[in-house]
Amino acid sequence: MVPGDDAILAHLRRGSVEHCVLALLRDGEAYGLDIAARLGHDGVLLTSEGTLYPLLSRLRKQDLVTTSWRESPAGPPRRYYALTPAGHDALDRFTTVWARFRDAVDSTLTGSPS
Amino acid sequence: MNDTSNLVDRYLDDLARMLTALPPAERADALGSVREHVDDALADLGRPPTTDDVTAILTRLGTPADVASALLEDTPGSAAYAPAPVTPPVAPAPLPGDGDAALALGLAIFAVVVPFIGLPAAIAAIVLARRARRAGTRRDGIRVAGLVLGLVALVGQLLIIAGLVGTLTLRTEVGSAEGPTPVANVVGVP
Repeated sequence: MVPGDDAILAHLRRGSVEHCVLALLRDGEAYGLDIAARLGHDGVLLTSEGTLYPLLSRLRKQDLVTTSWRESPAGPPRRYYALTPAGHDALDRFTTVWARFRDAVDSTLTGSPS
Repeated sequence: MNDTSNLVDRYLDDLARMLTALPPAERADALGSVREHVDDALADLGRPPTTDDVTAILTRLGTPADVASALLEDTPGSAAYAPAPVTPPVAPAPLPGDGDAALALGLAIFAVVVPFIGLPAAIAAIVLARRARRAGTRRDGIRVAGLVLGLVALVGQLLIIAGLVGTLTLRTEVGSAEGPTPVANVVGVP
């Protein structure tokens, strides 16, 4: 059976989406809905916005992000997520490894020598 | 307005029910995050939300089951709530000893119930149960039941035969010691 697009994407998201979340926080803290909107705008990285929160709680358990409560301009206080130093390290490492991985996959798929 | 908050409450209630396996603090945290997301999205509308607005926001969140299974996925020891696996679950392949194990149990039951003919059946059951273990089987419970029953039947059968032989021997001895054919009396010859 040839897996459909959704199944392929689901496989590829594992292990990569959480680093995309870290990347979104690289330039500063953000709150849940904001991260969900930026990550999910094209439906490739995030299909169900709700699954962002399990992911964020995992990153927090791994000490890669921290949360803090802030007053929001409108409505109740929000929880903001920010990178920890370990989160920055993890993001840098992933960025390097991902480039190697992507190049290897690309060159294999296109059949050109790497 | 009431309708819209009912929709949100129902969604969160469903999610809460599916997260009972989580530690209370994590569960409260997850529910709080999702509620906050919905509140923020509703506030962003800048107008009183309609039921369509709420439905759209909840649809983008995914079903409570989607969110719950993502949460339970990496909580060790919790039975994931319907964790829609990417690959369909594959029934474990039958192992070569499966047939032997089933046959062993069948023969053992036969051996327990039927005297004499059951003796070879009991032996066959024991042999098959041992062969099934060597070949490997998913039906280990059945195999063990067959083996135990087979042994019980074997002992029972041997006891019956021993008892019968003993009785006959005794009668023969009694008969030869006391002369005229008491066996014939038993059988009913006048």
